[in-house]
Amino acid sequence: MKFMTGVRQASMAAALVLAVAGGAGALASAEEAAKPVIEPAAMSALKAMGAYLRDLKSFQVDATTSDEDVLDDGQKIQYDNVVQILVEFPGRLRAEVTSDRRERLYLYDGKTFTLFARRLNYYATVPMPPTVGKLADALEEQYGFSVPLEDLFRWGAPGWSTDQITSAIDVGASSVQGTTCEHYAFRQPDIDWQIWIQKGAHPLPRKLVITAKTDEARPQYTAVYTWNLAPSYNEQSFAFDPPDGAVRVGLADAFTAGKAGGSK
Amino acid sequence: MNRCGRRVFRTALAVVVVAAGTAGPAQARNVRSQSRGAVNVNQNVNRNTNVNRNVNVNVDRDVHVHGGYYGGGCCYHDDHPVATAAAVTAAVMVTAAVVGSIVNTLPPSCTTVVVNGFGYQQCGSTWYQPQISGGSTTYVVVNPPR
Repeated sequence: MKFMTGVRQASMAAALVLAVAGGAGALASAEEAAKPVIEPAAMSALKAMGAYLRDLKSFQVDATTSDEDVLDDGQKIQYDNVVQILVEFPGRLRAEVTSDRRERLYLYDGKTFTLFARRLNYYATVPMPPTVGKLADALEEQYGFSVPLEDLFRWGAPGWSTDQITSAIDVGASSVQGTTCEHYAFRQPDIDWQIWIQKGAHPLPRKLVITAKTDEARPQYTAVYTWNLAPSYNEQSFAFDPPDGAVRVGLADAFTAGKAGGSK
Repeated sequence: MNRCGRRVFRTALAVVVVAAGTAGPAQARNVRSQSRGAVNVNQNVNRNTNVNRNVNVNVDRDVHVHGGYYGGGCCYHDDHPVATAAAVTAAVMVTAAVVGSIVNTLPPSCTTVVVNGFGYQQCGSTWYQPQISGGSTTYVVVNPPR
């Protein structure tokens, strides 16, 4: 009995030594692996995609996206959205976003922007500068929300930069809904992100995953895009015709909305 | 279309919701953070990453207001039965009516009034101006516009 105990202790000690040694080895190689690598092929693929996007004169994208809320205790709740967007550059956009919680129609004709909340039958109309890029800036800066699928308008645009990227790797070939893509993974402050770019003559983003690193729960956003590069549309596609009973309301100004005392 | 003729009492609705097994939200939960929906964000914008949004899971939904009756499964223009549960909890979200304060939900019994082309909600003696955004609808307490 005593002997057995001794053997067990000895073997446990040996196992412990091995575990420590193995652990140290693993740690060293993990450190090595953690060294940021920027693969030029991944960066050039990203830039080629951006240039291709900015060459398009019009497009229609249907996307399914999901985003996550993190509750106080770290539990994550995932929500799905369906996004349909039609753009004619430089200055016309129509987008519809539908989820369990709300529906929004975004209409922009190069002069005015209308946001329509379908379930409430509320709409808001404000003047806007003349390009989709400026619309994206204005919504973000003045109204605190984004054009749906905002990245599709940012990649390759004037002022776009890859400076934030600290790591870029080519993961390999991957199929997204039957389309052959190349899968890339990037790291930058606050987020890790992955993109699947269609192979061949039309380097379009087909899927995007963004993992936020600012919360240990790491909430994640996913979008899968279906493209139509020859959409049909007319003037009416970008014009707002208020339905019966639609009521005009304000467009929330995210940066003054919290201040008490205003009369409007 | 307008299903408001089928008026349902709130308590009765609650029973229906539970009996149907589509239990609605019970408690408000705080959202401490959210996923980020874009790689390329405008660095000039001071983003509020500390969300702390009170999401009574269903209160953070678009709920239709119609004809002086709030919610209650009568006025949704959508086909999401789960959303009816929002009305059950909405009634307790009444907030002190300080001009300039902002609420996510209206008290019961409001009327839509259009003044100078803009819609307001008159709830008793308190007036609210609805304002929509990409991801939310809020109501600002305003001085009576007329």
